[in-house]
Amino acid sequence: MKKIFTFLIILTAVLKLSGQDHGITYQAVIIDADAQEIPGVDITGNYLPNQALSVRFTIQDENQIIEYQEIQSTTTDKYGMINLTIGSGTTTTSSPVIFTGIDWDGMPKDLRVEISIGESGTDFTELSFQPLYFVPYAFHRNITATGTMIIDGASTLNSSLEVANGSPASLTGSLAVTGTSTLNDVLTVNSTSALNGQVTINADISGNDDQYDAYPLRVQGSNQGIGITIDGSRNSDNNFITFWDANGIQGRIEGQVDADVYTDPEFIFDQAMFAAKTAVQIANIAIAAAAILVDPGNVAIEAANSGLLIAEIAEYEIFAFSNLGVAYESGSGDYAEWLPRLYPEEQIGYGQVVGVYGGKITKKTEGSEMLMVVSRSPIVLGNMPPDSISESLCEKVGFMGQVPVWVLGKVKKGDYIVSYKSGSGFGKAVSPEELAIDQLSSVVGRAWADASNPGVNLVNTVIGVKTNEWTGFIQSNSAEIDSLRNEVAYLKARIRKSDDILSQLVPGYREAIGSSSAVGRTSSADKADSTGKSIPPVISDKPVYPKVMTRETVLDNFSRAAAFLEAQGVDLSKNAFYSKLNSDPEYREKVINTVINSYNQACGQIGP
Amino acid sequence: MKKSLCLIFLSISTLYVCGQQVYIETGTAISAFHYKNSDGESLDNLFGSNNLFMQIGYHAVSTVNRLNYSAGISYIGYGASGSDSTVGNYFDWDARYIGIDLGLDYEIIKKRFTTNSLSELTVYIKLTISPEIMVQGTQTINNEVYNLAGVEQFKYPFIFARGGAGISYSINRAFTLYAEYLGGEGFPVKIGDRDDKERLWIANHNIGFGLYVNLPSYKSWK
Repeated sequence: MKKIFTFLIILTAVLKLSGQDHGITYQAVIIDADAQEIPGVDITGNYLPNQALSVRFTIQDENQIIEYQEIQSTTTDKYGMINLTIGSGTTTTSSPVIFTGIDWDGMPKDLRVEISIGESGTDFTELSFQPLYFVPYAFHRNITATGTMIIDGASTLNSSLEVANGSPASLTGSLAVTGTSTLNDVLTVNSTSALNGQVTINADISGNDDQYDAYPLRVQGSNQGIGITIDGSRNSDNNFITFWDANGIQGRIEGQVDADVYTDPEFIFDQAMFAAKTAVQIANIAIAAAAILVDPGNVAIEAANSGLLIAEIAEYEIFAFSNLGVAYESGSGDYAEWLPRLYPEEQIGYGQVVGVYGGKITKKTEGSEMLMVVSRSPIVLGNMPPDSISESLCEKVGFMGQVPVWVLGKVKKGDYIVSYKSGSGFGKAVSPEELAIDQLSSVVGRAWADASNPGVNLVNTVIGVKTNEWTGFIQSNSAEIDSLRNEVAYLKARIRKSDDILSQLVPGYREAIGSSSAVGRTSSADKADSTGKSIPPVISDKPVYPKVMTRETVLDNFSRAAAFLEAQGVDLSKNAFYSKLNSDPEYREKVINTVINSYNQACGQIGP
Repeated sequence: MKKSLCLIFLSISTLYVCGQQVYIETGTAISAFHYKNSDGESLDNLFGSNNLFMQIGYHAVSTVNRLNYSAGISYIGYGASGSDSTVGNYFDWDARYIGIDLGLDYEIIKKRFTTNSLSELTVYIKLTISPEIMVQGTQTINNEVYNLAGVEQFKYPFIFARGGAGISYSINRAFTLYAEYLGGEGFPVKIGDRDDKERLWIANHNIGFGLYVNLPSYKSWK
């Protein structure tokens, strides 16, 4: 053909992705746009049969930038039809990528088709230019993609999604799942995870307590364990951890507040002890005040002791209320440790009194280093036996807290529980009034429960804390010392008076004894004894027992106590109380106020 | 065109007329298209067709021995049909032309069978020239019919030149029967685009039978 042909597409170009090869099938009938000349009216619309031609396909973006271009040579069939696959031609130099490299990014793309009649393939004429659309069936029917499928736009799946054949699924972005998710195999999360809902680990596993794989929750991979943050401030209603079993709550770890301190048994006990000490100290001051004429310096010493006691109480309360944290609560009441039996074959049960020999226990208590009780269910159990030692050779021995103790005979609250020397493992109750000094070394603890059975009773007993069994003896000894002191003072006065009389009656007597007062109280000028140790100075000759404690009195007492302690060789710069007292004005005021209130309350309890 | 017709009539009118006849003729017009497209290529599978023609006119005997002339009006049909096996097209034409037919005939044989007989057999040869113009025509292409009026190759008149022979027989003083064959080809009088090589000629073969009616002034030559 000499003329340049232009062509029209009269059949739909069918686009579909081939099953095996990449490409877009393209089918068209080439129509001769020139009319066939015959006499009269020429014939138009003839197809072009058996015509060699070249087809150039160009896929370009919305800005007419070529994304892909290829040329194919073909020949029309006898009906003028061509059947080609876009993607199987020869890529031109204008094409930036091969067909499989086309970025089907969802942006508009156009297909330009140009043809060149003949075999030269150089003079191309545009045949069609049309936008590319998705294949309608692909929208409504099943899609089978045997190769890679890349969807750059937002995708909506209105039904289930299944990734079969064990194929992995990888998400580089975030995953939001509104419905329930079920993972039937191992879940690995390699980054920080936030679970904003309740988590229940319902692992169908079992095993012994020494098997790591038997635990549904295992936390590892860090030098830290578990961190728990609760909403709001801590209190006894907010449990950090609560322990359940089939019978309900068996324990918990909860926050502590000031109110919890007042209900803490140890705090109550300590308060009682402080009250008793205060009463004794007040009595000592009263005694010293009564003997002021005989020994005025003693009053100063007792005043200093009072200051120290007040400071100790204040420091304890500050410590008690400033060191609140979490409480480990359980029906169990003691801290215990695993201790091996001295005689492995010996049968030892909970609640039995045992003697400790070099860290091993036996029911034989006579001659033991200390007495302890086998715990039944400690809240904390330390000294876990190593793998080389079976737990069957050890017992859980209570160190501190409340443990049940097998006691022979009746028991009253407050009785001391002392051990039998027989090695039976039983204890017996001794009232504080009947406790003999030779029984002090046999005291195991103090009963906090009554038992009326004259036989064997399992009595709740507090162990490992101050049970005050020494207080009565100390108080008794203190009274005896005070009595002796008074007697000495009286005798000194009598001797001084006798010396005066003898000096008047016997010439040279005074010179013979070498002093104006042969027997007298050591003056404040005497700074050291024969050992070189400082002797407590006399700070004041006036009585310092006030009826009402004032700020000035407290400060004066602190000064006296400091001087007294320094004389005792105490380095106040290393004393935590005095260091903080001198460096922290707020703390100083708080201590002063606490001392004033406590002292005045104590005086009010005792009476004038 | 007008000049040509005037010259023909002036030439004929200079002849001495010694006998006059009117005639009427009808017969079959066999036509075929001779066609070349712009590339000079002819159409394959192009066939002729048969149509009816009618003619009526005036026939006179000139003073020149045995030479007669005639002038008449013709109504003739031309047509053709064909197909294109390559693309499967079918097409045919059916056109009606009216023309002015001018002719000269020369009697080469004239024989009276008896002395007193008025019956006379004449064999003659004849040349005609006939400008014709289409008055109605249709073209059919694949079952679609188009009007040929004003269409290229048909909108301009054709001039047909024909030649042939005939035989006539005078059955009495008034009427003469004749039969003749005229064959020739028509050429368009105007071509729209001289550079366009597309051309159409119409080949024509007329076989007709006619009747001369002697006018009262008719006088046959002796």
